[in-house]
Amino acid sequence: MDNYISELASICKLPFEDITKNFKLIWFGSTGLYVANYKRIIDYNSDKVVLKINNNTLEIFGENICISLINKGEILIKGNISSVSLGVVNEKR
Amino acid sequence: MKRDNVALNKVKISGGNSINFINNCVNCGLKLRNIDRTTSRDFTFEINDRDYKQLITLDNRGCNITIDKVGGKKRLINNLIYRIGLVIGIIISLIGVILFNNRLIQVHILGLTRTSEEMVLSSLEELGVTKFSYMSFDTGKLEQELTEEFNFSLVSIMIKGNSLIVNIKEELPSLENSYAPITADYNMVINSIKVYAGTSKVKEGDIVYRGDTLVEPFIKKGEDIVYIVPTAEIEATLFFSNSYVFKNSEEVYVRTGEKDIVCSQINLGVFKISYREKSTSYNEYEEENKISSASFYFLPIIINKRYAYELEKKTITRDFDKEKDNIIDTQKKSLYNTIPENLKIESEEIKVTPITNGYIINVYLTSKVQLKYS
Repeated sequence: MDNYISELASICKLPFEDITKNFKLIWFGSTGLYVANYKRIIDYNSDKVVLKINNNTLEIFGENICISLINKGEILIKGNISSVSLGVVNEKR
Repeated sequence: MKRDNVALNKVKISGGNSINFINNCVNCGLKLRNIDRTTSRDFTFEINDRDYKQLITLDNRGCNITIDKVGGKKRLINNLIYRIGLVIGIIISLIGVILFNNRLIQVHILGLTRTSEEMVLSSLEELGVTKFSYMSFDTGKLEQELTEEFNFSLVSIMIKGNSLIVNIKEELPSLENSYAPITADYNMVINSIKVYAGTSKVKEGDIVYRGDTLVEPFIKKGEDIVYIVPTAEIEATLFFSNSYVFKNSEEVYVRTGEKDIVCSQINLGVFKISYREKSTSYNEYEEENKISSASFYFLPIIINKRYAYELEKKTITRDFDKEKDNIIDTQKKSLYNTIPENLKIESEEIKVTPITNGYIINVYLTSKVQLKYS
């Protein structure tokens, strides 16, 4: 279904993430990461950022991490990013 | 170390629920920048004025919100308030520059020897040239008025900055009772000359041109020379001529309409700021300079550009019979314009001489005069 929608989106030139509600990740070298369609921040400190996306979590690890810009649905993270992993929801309340 | 953006306010939130508060802000559409976790409970971020007003209305979820650094318009206003002396100084200077920039402050008068400066200044005041008046004088009119009032030989007025510079050449000394020779005022043939005082340099039948000496202002008595005012009566035939060369076909260069900039120079006063030169690709061209003044309110910036206009050779053929009458009328008109008003023309002669590839058209006018010099 997602493949069908992504094909339709590329034909109609519509933004993929807005139609599929799936997250989008753009990694700029090792110093910047752009995430679209995230839900909320679960945890944040200088070596880890955990974001909730749909039913999963996106964990970003590195050094001197800071959130450069945050908006509804998009976030730009800067710092020495070493790894990114997709995990199961484990929110800290 | 990250540099703070001066247009944004730096806000600090502290509390156990800081992350939830940040999520709440983002969900409400606020844009936060450079979020930094300073301690386990404290965050700082930057936010603009409009979003900050909305931020303080939100449920803070038990967090403490404080402003670390004010940014945006408020910061600018605070900076100005704490440096009020500088602000007042800048405003006063600006007012002074705007008020006095285009006003007359000084008048310099140069070249006076016999007339007093006060008289010239009071005359200028009557014509509207007063201190602190706008520098919008008609310098031509002022020159004419001063020349007529004081009988000056020459007056030249120049505006430079906030000053008016008046250069005066006072009346030249009279040439009466000076021993000047009699000279020809026109090109003429001497028909007869009667010298009552002085020494004649010409005789009947001589052809003289304008400026030639006719009678010297002295007489020789043996070895002595006695200077006197020359007096004479001269009858002469004046002749005036004009000629035009007509070519049946000639090659001329005309502009094609294409142009290219070959040199551009920007000057700030006398200092050269920029200079660029390049060669043109045209085979035949002519150059023309164009100067434009792009002066701002205070700086004299002059832009000088040299254009190369492409030329092409064209052969033009003309019909002599069609154009002959027109050419003769034009030549006669321009010749009559050079003749003094009180002269009566006695004869007119038009001569057309054929040459290779054309003709020469000559127009001759003659007049007889009786001149008395004393």
